[in-house]
Amino acid sequence: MQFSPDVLVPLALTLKVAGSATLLVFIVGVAVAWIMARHDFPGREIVDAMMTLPLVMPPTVLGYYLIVLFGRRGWLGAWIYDTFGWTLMFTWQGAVVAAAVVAYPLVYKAARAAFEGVSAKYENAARTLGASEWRVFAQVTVPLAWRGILAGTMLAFARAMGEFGATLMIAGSIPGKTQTLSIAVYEAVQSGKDSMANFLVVVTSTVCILILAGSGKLLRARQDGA
Amino acid sequence: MSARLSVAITKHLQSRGRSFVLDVTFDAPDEILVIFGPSGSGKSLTLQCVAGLVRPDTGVIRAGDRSMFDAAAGVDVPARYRRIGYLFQDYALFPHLNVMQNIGFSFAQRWPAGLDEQARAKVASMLELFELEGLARSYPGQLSGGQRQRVGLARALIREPALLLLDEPFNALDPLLRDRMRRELVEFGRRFAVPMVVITHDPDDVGALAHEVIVMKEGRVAKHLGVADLPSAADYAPGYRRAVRAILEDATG
Repeated sequence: MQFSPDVLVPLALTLKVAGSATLLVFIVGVAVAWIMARHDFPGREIVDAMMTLPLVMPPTVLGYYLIVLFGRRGWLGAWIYDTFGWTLMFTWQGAVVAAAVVAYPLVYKAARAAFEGVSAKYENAARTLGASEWRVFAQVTVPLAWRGILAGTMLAFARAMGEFGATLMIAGSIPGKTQTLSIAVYEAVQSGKDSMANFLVVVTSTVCILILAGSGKLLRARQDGA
Repeated sequence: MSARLSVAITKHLQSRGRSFVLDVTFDAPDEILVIFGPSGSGKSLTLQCVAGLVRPDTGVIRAGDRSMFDAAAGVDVPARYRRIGYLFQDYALFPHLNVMQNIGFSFAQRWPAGLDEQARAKVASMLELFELEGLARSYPGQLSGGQRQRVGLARALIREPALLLLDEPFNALDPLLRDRMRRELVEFGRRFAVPMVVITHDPDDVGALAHEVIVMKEGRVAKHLGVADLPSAADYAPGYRRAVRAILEDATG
């Protein structure tokens, strides 16, 4: 089977969804990880557990929570629908939210460990040299934690690409709109299109292996360079 | 004459059921004050309070005629505005920056880091003064202990700080190198006309550097010794170090 629209459309959609989700969890995950690594506050342990929960919960359960939250009659969803006349349900943005929630702990965990691995002495040295808190973060903390953050982000992207359960719950399986690669594989198998399923599986596997190999190479290059 | 550094602070620390109370009052001379004491006596904590890295509970810290901290008046100048240099125990050179970028760090206020003409000239003159020209593009991981210390000093002194704090500056060095680095330190201090506060648990540092010594014990100043209280025969005469040790050991009980 060649690169027909049957393959290219879900592949492009998957990359768009996984890319957007990764960007989202990168920004939120890094910010929250930094706060958790550098600040102490009551209930910190509970927040940490909450942030890690998507890692161990079944994606279908997460999807259900998302429906409760964002469904047209959901806590947030009702307000969004009343205000904008729009709902997250069965849209590619919904798939992004589902993938982001599932991939979030990977960035959060990796970034938190990376920030905690940066000795406070470097940050303090920067402060005595006249650096503002923003500069300490941007020029000392992040460059020293970068490797771990990047590794977590790469894993998050791979995880977002493979997201199935939560995505199906909130975004469904609409060809060309919300049907990502992993869902297309499922649909192909269900409808007996074995060669189609084979090809989709090979494409997905190849992309995932390329990402992991690429991230590994990037990390090694950084190690040698710094 | 007002003292260069005047400290009167308390700080209560509590962690895992153990508590520590720092309660120190001292004035530092224009030259070198050595804070001597065993580990856990509160030396580093005192230095961190002076630098603005740790906030004392109560008290006052003044450097020259500037108030750095005054609990009653609500003054707490952030570390970055204190102009107090700090040489960390193992120098804390930024591992991701080369020697030149480390020394120029206090100038690179814009992001991404870039140095203007004037700053670059200043970094070059520091490289020359500290005999680091050949290492400008080396990373801290590639330097020897003595070279690292010189980079750390150059990085702190390029800002022309009003005061330089040094945390166990010779601890990480080869014993053979220590005497030479002590002499270099005294020389740089004079050259930049910067008063210094050096903390150490090595009596030899006291003999080689101190104009005044405070001996700390369990968070308090156990004794404040002037230059007149120390044995006068310098030049490392035999018996000199022993005499210094005896005085310090007496003070720490």
